[in-house]
Amino acid sequence: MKRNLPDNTILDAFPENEREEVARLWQKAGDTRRSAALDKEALEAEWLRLQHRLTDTEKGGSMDTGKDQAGRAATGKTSAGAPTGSAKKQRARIHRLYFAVAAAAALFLAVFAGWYYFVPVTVEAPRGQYLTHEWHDGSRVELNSGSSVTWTRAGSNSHRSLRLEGEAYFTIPESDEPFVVETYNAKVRVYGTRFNLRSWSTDPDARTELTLVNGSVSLTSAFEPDDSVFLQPGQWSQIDQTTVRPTPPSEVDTLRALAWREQGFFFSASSIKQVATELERRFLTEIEIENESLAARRISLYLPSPDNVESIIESICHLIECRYDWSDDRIVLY
Amino acid sequence: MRALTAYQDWARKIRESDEKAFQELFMDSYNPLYGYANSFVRDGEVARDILQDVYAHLWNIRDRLDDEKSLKALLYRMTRNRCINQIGAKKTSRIDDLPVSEQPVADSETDDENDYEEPELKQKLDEWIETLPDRQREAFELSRFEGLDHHEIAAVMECAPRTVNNHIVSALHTLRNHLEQWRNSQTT
Repeated sequence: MKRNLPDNTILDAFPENEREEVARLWQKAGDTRRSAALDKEALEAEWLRLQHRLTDTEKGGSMDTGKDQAGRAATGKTSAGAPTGSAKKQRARIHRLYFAVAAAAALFLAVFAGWYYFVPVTVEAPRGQYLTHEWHDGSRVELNSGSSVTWTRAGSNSHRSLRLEGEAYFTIPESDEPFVVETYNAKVRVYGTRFNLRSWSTDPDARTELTLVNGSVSLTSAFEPDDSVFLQPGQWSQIDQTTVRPTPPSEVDTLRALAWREQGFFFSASSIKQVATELERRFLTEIEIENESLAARRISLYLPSPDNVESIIESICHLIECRYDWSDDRIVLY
Repeated sequence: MRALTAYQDWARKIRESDEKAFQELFMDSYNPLYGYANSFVRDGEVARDILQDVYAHLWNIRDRLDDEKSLKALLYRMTRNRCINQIGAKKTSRIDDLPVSEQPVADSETDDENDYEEPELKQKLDEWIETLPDRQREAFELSRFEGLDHHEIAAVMECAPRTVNNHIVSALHTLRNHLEQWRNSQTT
């Protein structure tokens, strides 16, 4: 009933003498709806179809239970192959053999297909290295040191739904097909674009940061699937431990967020512990911090083209007035 | 109000894997969603496949349902996203299959007050709604035809509730202007 009249917030936007007319227009518009509805029978049929689909999935049709599927498929074959009592034992035995062979072959195929399609593919940039990977559809990812992307082969363009651990710069050509990147706490939907995504789940300052260079993307929390923000080029948003929701997009200097691609670093109020983690990742050096209070201190630093790890440590020590020393092949900050 | 609490109730039960509640939700929400999906894809079979996806996905993510968030809006949004993916770039071609308008009604002694009874107006209105800008039309249709409130529409269209209101108001403005022009053409 309520919907036979527009909300007051709508009516309020019109001058008083027009409201009655608008309300009537609203009412009349209700008749224009082309009705498309299923009758009871068709509706029941759709419900049955859905149930079949869901039971199939629970039996192992879904991606993450691939191994399980292979196992069940095999047992299914074996039981189907068991002959139902026969006088001609010989033939029955041959039949049984046939079925056993068929079941073994089916099992092998299922396991292989399961392995091929469901075992994830991972591309990883080891510590101290960068790596660029390009897919056949022109999508490209540049991985920062110690970062990886993972996807499965199920489906023709299955890499269009992948998982990132670490930091990467994506170049995704415009396409009707969705491209989704998941991190440990967030989901990024891509609509043809270039963006930087940074999400090391085990870092001291763990968070997911998204910087858009051009095109359009949305950022959604993995825990609040209804909460998304849309980014404009040049904007940035993040999800950290304290906020389950993405922060409102804000303007950012994209060059800084992309400093890593030119071997640079950009730290914004990062803890020394976090800075050390990143330096370790890039330079294959271990960095030890003598005490907790030093580890927790925060620093903002932009290093577009640092020479080596020692020069960076020197700058940091200069800024926060600490000292460093080499101990074997490690750097100790104190 | 009754419908609202029903959805919240279903959300809570479905989260606990209550299949009966899931069936109730299916039976209750299917046809409105079907009409909605059809308004995008204009193909019953495609719409039914999309809804299979929507409900299957809903069941798969049931443990993450939040009864603070509108389950109704979630259903509409999932349907909308899949429809948009389905039609892709063809999205704007919705008006192609519009019926060509009928010949004008000969007898036009109707005045402003009761021309709402005219069958031709209904058809005209339909056409005008179809030619609204996409976002406006969508907000208007969700509000008028699907009975979603501003917050639910905002969740479906991924924008602010105030924007939703602006879209609907603009849509009504446009429709009103069309109506005025149409009346003028009737009297001349």
